[in-house]
Amino acid sequence: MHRSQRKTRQNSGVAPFIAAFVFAALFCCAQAFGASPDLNLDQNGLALRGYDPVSYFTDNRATPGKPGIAAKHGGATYYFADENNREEFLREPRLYGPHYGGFCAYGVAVGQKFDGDPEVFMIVDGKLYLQLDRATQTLWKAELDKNIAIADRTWPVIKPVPAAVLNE
Amino acid sequence: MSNPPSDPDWTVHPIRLTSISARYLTRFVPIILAVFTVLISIYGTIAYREALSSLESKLDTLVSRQSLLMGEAVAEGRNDRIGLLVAQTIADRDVATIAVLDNSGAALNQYGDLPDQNAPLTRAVAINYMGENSYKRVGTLVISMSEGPAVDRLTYTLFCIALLGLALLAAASVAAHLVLRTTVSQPLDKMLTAIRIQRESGARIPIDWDSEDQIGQVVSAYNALQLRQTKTESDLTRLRVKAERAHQSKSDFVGRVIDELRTPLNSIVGFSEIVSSQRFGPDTIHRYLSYAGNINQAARHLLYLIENILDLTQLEGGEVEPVFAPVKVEMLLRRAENTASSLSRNKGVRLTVNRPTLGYALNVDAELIGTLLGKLLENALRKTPEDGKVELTFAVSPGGTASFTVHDSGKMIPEAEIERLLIPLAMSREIDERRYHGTGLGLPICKILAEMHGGTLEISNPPTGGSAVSLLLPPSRVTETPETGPSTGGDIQPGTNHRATRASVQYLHGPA
Repeated sequence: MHRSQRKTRQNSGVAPFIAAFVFAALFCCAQAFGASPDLNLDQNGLALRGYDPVSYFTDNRATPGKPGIAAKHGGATYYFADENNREEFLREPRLYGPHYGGFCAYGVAVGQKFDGDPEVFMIVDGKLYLQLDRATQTLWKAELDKNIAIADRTWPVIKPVPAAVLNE
Repeated sequence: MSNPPSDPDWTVHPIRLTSISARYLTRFVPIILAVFTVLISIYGTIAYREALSSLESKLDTLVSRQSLLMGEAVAEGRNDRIGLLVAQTIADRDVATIAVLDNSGAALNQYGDLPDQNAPLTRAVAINYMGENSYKRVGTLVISMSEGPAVDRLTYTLFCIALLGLALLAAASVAAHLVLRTTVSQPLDKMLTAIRIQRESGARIPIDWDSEDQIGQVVSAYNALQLRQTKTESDLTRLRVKAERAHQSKSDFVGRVIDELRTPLNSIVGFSEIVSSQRFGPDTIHRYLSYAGNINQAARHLLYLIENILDLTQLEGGEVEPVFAPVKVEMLLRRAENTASSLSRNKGVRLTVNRPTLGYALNVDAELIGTLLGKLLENALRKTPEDGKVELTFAVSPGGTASFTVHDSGKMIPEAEIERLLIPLAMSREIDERRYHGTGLGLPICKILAEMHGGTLEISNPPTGGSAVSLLLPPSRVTETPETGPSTGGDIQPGTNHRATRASVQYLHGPA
């Protein structure tokens, strides 16, 4: 947290317009949009488009979950392929939740909240990164460390801002 | 969606509208067409919505990706690279317009008009550039998509489905027509043909159709009905023929009766005229006496004739009700013998009664059977020439049929006349023979009496010569009695025994 706050201050120094805008959005629009804008959910509050978050780590594969095996965490609904995965997730939800709330990791690096495709994923240092599509993933992988470092700095800034506001 | 102008089945199969399959198809095809149209409309609506939503999600992904790809080019102002990316974007046929704007709103590159950002299927996304430490906004990417190609694809799909559906409908119609023809139309046509033939020519032809379904049941019921109708008709025809014949024979009978009556009446009138007018003079008294004898004979014959006719008409009219009671055969034989003994016969004619060794009893009307046997004996005695022999025999066949047979040694009866003997007055006879043969009513009366007992009369010419008339009674009339008590005396003497006959007559309380 300390590090993030420091980055935010740096950002506002580099781009005061954006920083001001971000904070304005934080106070004005967060309530208007209601649901937490820091998670990439569909209209029904479903995360990962219904894919099992645990399977990425256990099988290194994207596996669709079953609506019958669901769990809620932090305002999002997750589906799981089996009961074991659900228990595993509930034991340590933070470990298995997708990074950047399930938004496209490369998009976050450039300050955008783009939909992350659950089929296009990569696990780096025990964290699940999703991408918009395979083209984006290719770009992202080309400078993986740099992109992750930048995105980690950007994410706290855009995290509370709804996606629509970022494009106005 | 697509509403076909006509059913293709009509052109493939011209069907008479009078047939069941045509009527069926005229209902079936429009209903299926309507249902099909509704289903296609529903599917089309759903597919259209899905196509739009997938187009929107595709637009989202596209605009996001292109904005990421363009970040560096826009930041560095490399128009050639922007142009390349724009060209790459518009390669997708769903993309209608694309515009790359810088932060001031000026177009760096553009394909098509700049769309209204609030229009449907239009997205505007910030183009951000990732610097060393942070990102900055360098422009805006606006992409709009047209739903035209998607709608074209959808329309084409629906058209294919409609075509497929119509082909299916046509196939179903043809199949339904064929199946209906083999299961319904064919048997119905056969029935119609049979009915038409029956109406036109009256011939009842059974329909050749075998199936378990309702049609098969109707056909077999129709066949059974026709069979019964045929039987009823033939019964009616037979009854009508029988009635006509009965009417004819009645008329013939009346004619013959009048003929028969006229002959003795003529001789009575003739002889009595001679006598009353004394045509041969007053002296020939014994000649007149012989004429008076002739008159008397004719009158007696007339009386006898009339009595017989009365008997016959009473019997035929059902006025005589038989009273059945068990009667011993001995009694019947004695009674017949008694009657016969008083009848006129030619000189030297011998009557023999063969009694059975066992005492049988019959459940009959004793009086009627007595009359019957008496008439049979009377006939036989009449026609048997001098020194002839008449035999009355009772026997029970192994099958249980009881028979009284009167066998005489008279003339044989020609085969052709046997049947006519049983018709009242049907025998043509010479006047001379009349004395021999009686009235010609005896056997018909016997026949009616036999039928009253459920029996028959059989006339035959046995190989031993002469002729024989048998009364056959069914086994149900026979009661076998092992006890032979009261008639033992009769068994010993085969000849005429007047004392025994009288006794039996008294025993029966019947008229002598």
